[in-house]
Amino acid sequence: MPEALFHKGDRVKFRLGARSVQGRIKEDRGPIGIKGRRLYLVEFRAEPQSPSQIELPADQLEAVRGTVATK
Amino acid sequence: MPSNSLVKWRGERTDALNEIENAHAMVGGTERGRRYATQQINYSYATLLSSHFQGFCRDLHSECIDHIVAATPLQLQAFLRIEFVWNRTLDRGNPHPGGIGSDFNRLGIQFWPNVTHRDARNVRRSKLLQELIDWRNAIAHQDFNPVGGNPTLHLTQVRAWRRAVGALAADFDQTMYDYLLVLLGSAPW
Repeated sequence: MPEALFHKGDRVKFRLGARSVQGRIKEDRGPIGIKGRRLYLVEFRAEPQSPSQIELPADQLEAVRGTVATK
Repeated sequence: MPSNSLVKWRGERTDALNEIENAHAMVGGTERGRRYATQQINYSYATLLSSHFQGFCRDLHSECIDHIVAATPLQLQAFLRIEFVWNRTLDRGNPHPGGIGSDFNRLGIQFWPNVTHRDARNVRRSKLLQELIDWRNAIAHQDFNPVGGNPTLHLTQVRAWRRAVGALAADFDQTMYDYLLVLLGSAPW
């Protein structure tokens, strides 16, 4: 079983089309993906007034170091 | 081979539900006190059963999304992932049959017709699931009028709900397996 690389509250970024979007890990969904890969629920704001969610495997997430505004 | 979601249902989720069963069996004391204690355990058991079945359905939905999205061009995958979980009933509400159906239907399947076609007993099981959800809400809000006004919940009833949702879990898994096999051209799990 793959170990958790991210934890709730971690800041991450991922590709959304041509953009790099930043968000926060909202939930470790566990090893429920293809071949048991671990999925993470990420909350992000593509628009200031509209929080969105996405579930992504770890290999499509990158940790963000330091202070980053997600709102 | 079952989905990862069904493995989890049959593993850690079943273990958690068994612990409540064991707690029920271990309650001792006088007849009247025991009846009160077991009633509270039955309430907890029903609530936990609803919660874990919601977790299973949500896991299976996410697992199916992961398989479907992986078959699409990389540059579109994030958009599809966002759309598939947008406003998902299983993220915020109880796992009532209507919500489960609308969430899975968004993956392109006519969910309940396929589930009931697989086994006609799933019609009755979906009614038992709705009954479980009605009781879960009655317990949470301490308003038993919607379930007939009598607050007494027997262990045999919770066990019947558990058998029903256990059978539904297995058939949800198989229904989505068959659907993804045709959609993607290979066995998803």
